[in-house]
Formats: sequence, C-alpha cells, structure tokens
Amino acid sequence: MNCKAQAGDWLMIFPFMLFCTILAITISIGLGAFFQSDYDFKKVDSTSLNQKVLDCLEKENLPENQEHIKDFLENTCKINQNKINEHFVLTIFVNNEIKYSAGSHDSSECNLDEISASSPACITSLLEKNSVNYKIISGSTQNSEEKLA
Amino acid sequence: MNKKAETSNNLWDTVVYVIILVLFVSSTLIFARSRTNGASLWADYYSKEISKVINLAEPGDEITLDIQKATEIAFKNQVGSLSETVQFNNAQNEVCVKLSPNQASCYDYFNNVDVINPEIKIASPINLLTFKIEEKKK
Repeated sequence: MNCKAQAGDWLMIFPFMLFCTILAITISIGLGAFFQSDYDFKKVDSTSLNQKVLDCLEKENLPENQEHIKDFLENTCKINQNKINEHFVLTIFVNNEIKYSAGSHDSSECNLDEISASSPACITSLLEKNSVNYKIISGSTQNSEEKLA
Repeated sequence: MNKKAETSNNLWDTVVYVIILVLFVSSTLIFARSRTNGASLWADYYSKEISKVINLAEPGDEITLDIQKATEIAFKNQVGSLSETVQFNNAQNEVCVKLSPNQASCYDYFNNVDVINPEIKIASPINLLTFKIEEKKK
C-alpha cells in the first residue's frame, strides 16, 4: 500500500469541497440578488404626498406664519409631521419664496436621486390660486424596514 | 499490484465525492427554493401598496384589498395565523406584512389617520383584507 499516494488522494477532497462551496455561494448570491431586488417606491410615495398637499391647498388657504403652516398641514391636511421629518422632504414656495420646509433632507438634494440611493426622489407641482403661485416639492427617502416578528 | 484493493479504494473515493456533491447540491436547491418563493419581495410589495392606499384615504373610507397572493405565500411558509399576515400600528403610523415565520416587512404612512377593524375574509371568493379609516385619536 502506497501511503503517500493514498494521503494525496484524500487531500484532493478539500479542493473539491472548496469548488463546491464557491459554486453554491455564487448561485446563492445570484438568486438572492434577483429575487430580493427592492421594489422602488420613493417616486410613488412622493407623488402621494404631493397630491395630498395640492388637494389641501386647493380647498384651504395656506397660513402666513411658519408655525401655523405646521399646524395647518398636521390638522387640516392630515399630514403627520413626524413622518415627514423621518422619511420625506416637503417644501412649499409661495410666489417663489420659501414659506415652509421640513424633512430628513433638503430639497436641493432632489436632483441627486439617480446618483445616490439615499437622496430623495422628488416630485414638483405648481398651483395658481387667487393670483397666488404655489410650488410644492415633495420627496421620499423611505425604504421598507425588515423586522423580526 | 493488488487490483481488488485498488478498486475498493477508488470506489470508496468516488462514494465520498458523490456524498459531498449531493450534500452541496441539495442545500443549494433548498436555499434556491426558499428564495424563489419570494416571501420577502411580496411582503415588501404589499406593505408599500397598503401604505399608498392609506395615504390616499380619507376618514370614513372603508378599504377592501385583494391579498390572495400574500395569504397563499403565508400559508405555504406556515405563518402562525392569517391575522398576523397584515398588522397596523396606529401609534407609529406603520403597516407590517409578515409572509415568513420570523420576518415582517414594515412601511410607514404619512396620512394622519387611524386604521381600525382590520379583518381578513377568507375565500369571499378570494382572500380579502378589509379595514376602516378614521380620524386620528389624540
């Protein structure tokens, strides 16, 4: 019995196992990347927020004072300010002047959404009412959260 | 040269290689099967779509949604009970969808309303989620 040859023979199992492991990992990564790709919802979220603010401004008048605007959005337009500060961007211009701005990012970052995943995906809309020009910029940075349940 | 001993050694080597190969292939297939089920992707999709519906709703609205696909996946993955599939958290303005036993996908909504009376109706004729929207309780 050639012990050296036999030992060499058994040693070849390890490269084989390494090859199988690499193959299994590659297949797993490929499947994971394909089936777990994110459903990008930021633009949809921005549009919903923009629409809500627009509908509200069409029916009601925007207050002058910043604090009153905050209450107006919370109580009249039914927009949760905490959620805006956490996951959204909202800027309201009246006659090209910023009257209200809130959110996790600045609206100036809106153009970077195709470059950076953390930048907000924004929607802009315009409204003219009683000779007042409103511009509403809304954006979303929200991603879904996986929780242990 | 002892041919019988050599044949026996070759056979033993082959058996070991085949066993290792079968183990790796079966574990890869099990993993692949769990991923193609798509529970994570569907939970993400449903949580976002339900939050969109809530964001566009007004107090007094009654919402009915088709969750046939979600319930099929939840049933296949042996999620505890169907009522755990979709859960609303009014304090956090959050909706969570659970389609696998230990993981839920959660998404926030900005509409300042409460979701009440969530219910899953089985086979009417498809599985439906119903809930009502009311004014936020302070």
